[in-house]
Amino acid sequence: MSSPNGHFVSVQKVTKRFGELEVLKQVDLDVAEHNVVCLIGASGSGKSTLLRCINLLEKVDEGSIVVDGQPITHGKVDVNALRRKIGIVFQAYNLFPHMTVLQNVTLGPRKVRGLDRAKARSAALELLRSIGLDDKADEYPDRLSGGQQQRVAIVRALAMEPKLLLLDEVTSALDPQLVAEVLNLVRSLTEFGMTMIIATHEMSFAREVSDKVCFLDNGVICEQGAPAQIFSDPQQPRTREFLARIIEAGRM
Amino acid sequence: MHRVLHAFTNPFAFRQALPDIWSGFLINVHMMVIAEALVLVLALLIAIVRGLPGRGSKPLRGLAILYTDFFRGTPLTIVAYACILGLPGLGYGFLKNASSEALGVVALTVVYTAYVTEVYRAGIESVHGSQRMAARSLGLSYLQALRYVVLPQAIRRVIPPLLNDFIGLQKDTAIIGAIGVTEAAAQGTNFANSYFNYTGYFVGAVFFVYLTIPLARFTDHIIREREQRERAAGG
Amino acid sequence: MIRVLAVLAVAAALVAVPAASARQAAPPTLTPGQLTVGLDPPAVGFQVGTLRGNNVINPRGFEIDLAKAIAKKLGIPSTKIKWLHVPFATLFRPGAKPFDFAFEESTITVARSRVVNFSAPYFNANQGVLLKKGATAPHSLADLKQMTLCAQSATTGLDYVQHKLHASSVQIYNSTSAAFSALQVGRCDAFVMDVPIIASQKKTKPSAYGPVAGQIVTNEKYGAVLAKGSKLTPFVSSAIKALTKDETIGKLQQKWFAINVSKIPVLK
Repeated sequence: MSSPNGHFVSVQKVTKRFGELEVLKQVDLDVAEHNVVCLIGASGSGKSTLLRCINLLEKVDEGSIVVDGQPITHGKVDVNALRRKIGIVFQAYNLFPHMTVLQNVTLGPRKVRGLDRAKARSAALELLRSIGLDDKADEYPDRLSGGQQQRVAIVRALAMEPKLLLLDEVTSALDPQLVAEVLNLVRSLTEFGMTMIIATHEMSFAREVSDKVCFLDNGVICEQGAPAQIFSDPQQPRTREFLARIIEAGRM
Repeated sequence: MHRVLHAFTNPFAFRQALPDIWSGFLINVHMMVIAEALVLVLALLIAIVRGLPGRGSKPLRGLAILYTDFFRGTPLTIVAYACILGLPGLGYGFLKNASSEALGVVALTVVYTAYVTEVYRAGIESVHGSQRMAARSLGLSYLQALRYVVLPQAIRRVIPPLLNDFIGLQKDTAIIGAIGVTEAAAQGTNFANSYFNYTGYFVGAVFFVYLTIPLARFTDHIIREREQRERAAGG
Repeated sequence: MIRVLAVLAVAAALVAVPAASARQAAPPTLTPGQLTVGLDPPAVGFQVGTLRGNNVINPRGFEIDLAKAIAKKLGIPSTKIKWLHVPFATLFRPGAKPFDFAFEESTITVARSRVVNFSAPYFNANQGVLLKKGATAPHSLADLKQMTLCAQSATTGLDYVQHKLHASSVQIYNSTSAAFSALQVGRCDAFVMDVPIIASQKKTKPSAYGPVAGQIVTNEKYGAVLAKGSKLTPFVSSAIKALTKDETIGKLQQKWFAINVSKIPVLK
């Protein structure tokens, strides 16, 4: 089911303040089902905050958000039910260090979705097998590399069978040689048809997988459009400035 | 110097005092074990109440703060006298019949819960916010996130200060000896008053130290183990 | 003849005066001309007063009147008496004392005499048994042995119940008031303590406790406590003997303790 204008996620005129500082200013964003939207922009531009507003980790100050036809910023909202539908993976500190990889992945299905131990376990092992980490099932996260941890984190989110996946710069804290394996996993998810909003610094990747790219600058969506257009022919001067600096730094 | 040694560490007096001091010491052990178990649980509950979010729980949070402030600020001796000599006078049957030892345990529990609540809170707050966020994002409720993700990590972190507070509690059981419970220190005083020799106190001290040393070494072991794990993970 | 008698009279007077003043040589108190008396109130009838730091303000009671009478005999005015708070539990520790003598209803015992000096006795006492409200009265020492007893640390009462009666259930409190509170609140069935102390307390707060169940003949005598080897001891002892002989002590007892101890049944 989608909102009146047919989108799976509809962000309308959302403003978010932290004290005096306005981090999101009248942001509008629509994401259609099965689409992949990439958010690009400098650190502090509001990408993470926007993602966290969508799964209600942050409360918006003004504006509204509708997810899967349900308004989540006004009225009575079952937050936990909403979060069952939305998976999110952060830049760091994702996995629970006191649990094994398998326990990390089965926690949600068992305690939230109510699956019994055996079903949750086999489903989790299946997911871990698909990313080639089933042999690490009984290891603790501190024995895995950063890339492996992030892939487990993504799979942990998938174990909840979400309708929407939010990725918040999931490769930014990784060693360069570990980035590829994570991006490969994300790419396969986009091919699978998962609705995703991805905040990222990986411009080539963004260009490759997204249906729409949004450039955030100081809490405002400065420009948005098809990746080909944004990356090859940016209209706004700020967008051009940003991309120029990226190219200069050799990151595209 | 000889006189001091004789007054405190006379071997004959040691043997003479041993049985009474030992029977008193068993009372200390009894009190500390019960108090420690109660404190571990009650302090956790109050620490959780302290952290409950939302406007609705504001009065509960206020009560928790009042409790910890009051009992951390009041000397144990005063609380002990109030419990042992005050409570039974309130007229309730179960208080009137309660043993002084039980009321002493109440005093110890009430005071040490206030301290340990703050230890737990420090532990909970030291767990990185992203852990709670990750747990909530999976759809876990506030209490589920606390129970499965935050508390296991928090408690593991505060084991050294917890054990420290318990060493304090073990020794503070001696305070109850002034009020009719003949534990080890009171037995030592009784011995001193009867025989004008203080070796009874030395015997008591030996027992207490024997109890505390393993706990202290265990604490060291846990700290060392955690340092090693952190060093390995960081690399 | 009259002239011879006059010379003899003068000669006698000349001899008598130095002799009299020799008897009145300054007693060796800690501070010359001042008397420091140790107290540990409250003990109803014996001494009550306000504790302020190390001192006792406004002391009143039998032992206070007795101390003043002794001071007078020693040639020290009562305005020059310093009243010091000395907790009972510290009284019988060996070593120097911060007081000249202490009045704390202290029973003279052989063991204590090894570490302190006692003056001549000024009071006779037995141990008494005060019951809590609602307790069954003991009719014999065998009954008493079965009861839960309170006693105060370092007292002859505690020594009696532990080492002579061999009671099985004894609670020890560090102060008299704590023990009385414990009895009032029902922590124990009976408090064993010197008869005059419990009888006076019962007289003051009759509704807080049960009756005085009986007395145990221990023939204790109270003496003033002085440091071991104190040179003041003979001075205090002769003063007390004189005050006993001239009935001063008897009159003070009547004034402060209108209790007929002989009416209290003896437990055997």
